[in-house]
Amino acid sequence: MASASTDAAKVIKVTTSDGIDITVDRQVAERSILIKNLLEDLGGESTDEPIPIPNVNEAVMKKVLEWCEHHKADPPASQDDDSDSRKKSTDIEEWDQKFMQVDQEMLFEIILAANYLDIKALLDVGCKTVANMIKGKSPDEIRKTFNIQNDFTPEEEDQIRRENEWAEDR
Amino acid sequence: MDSLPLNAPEEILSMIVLCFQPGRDTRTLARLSRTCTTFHRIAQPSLYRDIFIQRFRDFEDLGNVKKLLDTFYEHPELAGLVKSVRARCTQSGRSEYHLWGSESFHNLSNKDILVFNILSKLPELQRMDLSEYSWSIKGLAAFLHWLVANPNLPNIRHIELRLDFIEKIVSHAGISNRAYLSSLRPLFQLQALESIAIRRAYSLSTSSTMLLHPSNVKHILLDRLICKGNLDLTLCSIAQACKKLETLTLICESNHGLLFLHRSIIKNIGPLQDAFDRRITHAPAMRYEVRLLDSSNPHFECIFRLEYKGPVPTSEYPWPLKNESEYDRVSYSSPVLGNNHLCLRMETRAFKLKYLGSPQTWAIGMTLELVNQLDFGASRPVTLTILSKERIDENLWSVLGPDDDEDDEDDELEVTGRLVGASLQNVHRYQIIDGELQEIQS
Repeated sequence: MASASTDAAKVIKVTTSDGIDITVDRQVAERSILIKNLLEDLGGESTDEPIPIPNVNEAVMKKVLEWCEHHKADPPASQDDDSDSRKKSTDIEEWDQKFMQVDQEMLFEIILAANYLDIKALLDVGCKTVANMIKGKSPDEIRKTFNIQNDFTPEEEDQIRRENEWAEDR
Repeated sequence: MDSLPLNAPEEILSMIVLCFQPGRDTRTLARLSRTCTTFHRIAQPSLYRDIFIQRFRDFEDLGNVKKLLDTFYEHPELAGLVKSVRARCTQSGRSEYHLWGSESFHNLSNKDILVFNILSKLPELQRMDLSEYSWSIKGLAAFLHWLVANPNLPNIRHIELRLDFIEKIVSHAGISNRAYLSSLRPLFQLQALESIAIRRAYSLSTSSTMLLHPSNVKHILLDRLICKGNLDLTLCSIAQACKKLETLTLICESNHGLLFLHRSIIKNIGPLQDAFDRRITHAPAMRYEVRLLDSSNPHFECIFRLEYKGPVPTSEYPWPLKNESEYDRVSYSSPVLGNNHLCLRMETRAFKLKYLGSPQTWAIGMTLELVNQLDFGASRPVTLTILSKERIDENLWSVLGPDDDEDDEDDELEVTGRLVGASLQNVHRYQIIDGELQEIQS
């Protein structure tokens, strides 16, 4: 590809929380607004220096970069298409669905990493994946799936069940 | 592994909850808020932001009406979260009219009153979607009077109603189901109201131009309007009352798709335009649209659109279209140009001066078949530029000559000006010269 030849030299290194250096195309890494801003602040001088990412370990970082690689050509997210994205709030494109077929711990690690690295589209996909896992489940099943502690007193629980009853039996 | 939601920052939990659509994923939100105190706190605002009230007219079943009332009695703070209400009251099955006897056709039933009781407990309510709530004519009138007189609902900005009354079921028993504009009169007194959508406005009419209360309404949608009779008087009354009107959308239904081409609508545009013209210089944007849907032909569509001062962004539409698949061939952008779409931009001075009252640009989008049948009455266009994304088979075109079997009023529709194309990229341009369709370069 023509563009690859000019940009080929533009690779950067990141250091993960477990001390591993990963080399990655700058264009791919810049899906992360955090990294993009860091690189811009550095002014392009010391891009040989690895960028420390202290909150993300190697396994998660590789997964995140895999997503960034696949989505590197996506148009930048615009803040304006809010209404459109809301309409299909829990629709996820096929590749992303497959990508998110990981164990729950990894899923939440990805979400946290996307939040930290400021990759809005990945964060959205992660949250939608969790939302889809919640849909159609009873409160008990939701608790079980996500290991949530029921911290209501029995009275509170009963009261909340009654106050929201209008919404449940349709 | 402990799982996370609760270790995660609350902003992430909020983002997950925001994936659910208020008013649609109601049950999920309700169940999630029962799992633990954290999700309860985060999910309640989404759960109550947009509520759905449902009951059935022909059953004793109160739907969720009673439960909502109980909740709001006990927890007024939850009522304060509600911004939007969608209420549905229809017949539940295929019941015949004689099963309806338990509720009066003429007045509000006790169950209607219960629904109003819910509404009056919602001080922050902004949107009221009653497009699935069927009324009797008098029931609607009673509701609107109640609404105007109710001091607890000061913030209503959007109302959606339907005008196909339940009486039509017994219309053969002699009860009229015609709605006059006067029955909507109270709406124009709601000072905070910004948009009105009237669905199934089949029967909206008025016998004369009537004086409505001056209103701040900016957007009006009349859906499924049947364009006959005194539509122009209806629209003139609206135009005169709504001096801040920015968009007026008419969605019309026709059985054969030729409604637009017949002069009934065009005639109605004239007086409407006169009424609007006076405000155009003050309005930030003004759009007037007529859309035709043909129930017998799924591929049919016709959009008439008139714009002033540049296109209005789509996002300004305050209401989502109902049954979106039904409307998905309707393009919002201007000029209308899509697959099987043609856009005509015309500058026919005489036509515009006569029917639109001002020399502004206007555009018609319609299917090829319709362009083929374009009927300007007594005289045909001298030059007409057609823009199309696809090549047009020249054999498809046949130009209509003077239409002999129409009555003499035809000559009102004289087109003598020159029609020119719009500046669009990547489209094929055609002109009709001496009755022949010819592609033109550049």
